[in-house]
Amino acid sequence: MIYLDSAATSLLKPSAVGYAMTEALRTMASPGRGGHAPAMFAAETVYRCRELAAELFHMDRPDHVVFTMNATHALNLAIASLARKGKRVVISGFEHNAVTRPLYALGCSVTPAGRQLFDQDDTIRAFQKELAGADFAVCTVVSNVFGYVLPVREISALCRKAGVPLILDASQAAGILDLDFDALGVEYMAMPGHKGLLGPQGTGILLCKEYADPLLFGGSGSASRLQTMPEDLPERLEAGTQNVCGIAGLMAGIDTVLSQTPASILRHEQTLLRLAIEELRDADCELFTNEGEQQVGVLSLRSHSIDCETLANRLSEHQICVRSGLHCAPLAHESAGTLETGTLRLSFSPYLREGELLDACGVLRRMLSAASS
Amino acid sequence: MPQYWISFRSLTHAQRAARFLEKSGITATVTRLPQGVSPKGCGYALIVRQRIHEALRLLGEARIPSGMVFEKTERGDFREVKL
Repeated sequence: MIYLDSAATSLLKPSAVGYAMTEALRTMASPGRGGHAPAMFAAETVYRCRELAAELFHMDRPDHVVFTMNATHALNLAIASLARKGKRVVISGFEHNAVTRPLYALGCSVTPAGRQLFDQDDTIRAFQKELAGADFAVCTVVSNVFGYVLPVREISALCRKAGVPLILDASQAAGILDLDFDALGVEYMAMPGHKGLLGPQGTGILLCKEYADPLLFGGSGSASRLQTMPEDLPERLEAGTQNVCGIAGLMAGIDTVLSQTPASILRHEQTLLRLAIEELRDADCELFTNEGEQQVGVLSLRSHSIDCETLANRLSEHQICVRSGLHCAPLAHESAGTLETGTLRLSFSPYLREGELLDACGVLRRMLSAASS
Repeated sequence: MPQYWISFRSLTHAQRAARFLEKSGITATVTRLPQGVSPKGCGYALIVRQRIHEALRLLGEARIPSGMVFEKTERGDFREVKL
């Protein structure tokens, strides 16, 4: 099998992840639910994971690393903390439904800014124009469909200057791009644990600058007499028993990313990206790329003669795993002009080998050619 | 040797404080606070057996919020102390 769907979930994990999860299952209870050894061991593991996440994102406050179920949960927490009915929110033209649906549900007035794919100048100009009078902004760091790296440093500077709080969606960037949370000065940064951080599904992280409102209310293991959630992070946002096994796995994943470094992971993925571009350049399809510039290891394409879902199914029959369709990001497809067709997406991981990618591109090229003849 | 318990509003604050003190060479153990001395119920504390004044000063300088400080007597009672 050749797995080219790491932008959805990184299937290939470091062996330490599975080991850490098994150990947690055998030895750990619930943090904050007892002073006995299994509870304290769990508490130590969870805190260690906070510390590693803080280190990876150059953050001074491990206690402001909040564990969530996934990036969608983290984004909902961040958005619900800032959004009210009628608030005006500026978003990039490449946002995922995990951003747009909560904004819609909360009755916000949403203004997309920057619709030109791989055009950072256009994105910056659009944010500059739209930020005046905005209540807050949300921006993805990397488009999940096209791998386009948005100019978040410049956007965060613009937001700071305009006094507009900014939420970053780092779903496709965490573990791959070097993101400095404190230096960016954003209000929140959300991410899943199961993509570039190499952890298991069911884990996510929200980095908070200061304060956030809970979505869930319940036991926090502290201040139990109070009938309101604690004021302090992270307990304020972490009601109920935590996913200790998942967090243990996530800890091992982040530890691997720190050892390998995001810079070397990015280099590897961009090498693969350029290889895929070369291999598919003359194929009978439209490639969505900027020749590897401002792009991580995500490559979308569409055939002139075969539907992307059919193509993905045929690849699956050859044990090649890709994602097709709208990738839960209709806004991004609308921006790129692919809303009606969707795209076929190849996405890479630190564990994908060049030989595997060459084999997959060969099969894909032959399929595209056969479909057009 | 006296045993001091520094209270915290949350487990994570206690853990953060413990890490911080460890880096300064002060051993601190995270533990649960007895219900009788935990005004809001289910609190956490750091047990510190040495350099308590320095520990409190360091936590204050690092703006790590701590609560009341107790001395655990030989009989096992807790007595609030102002240091």
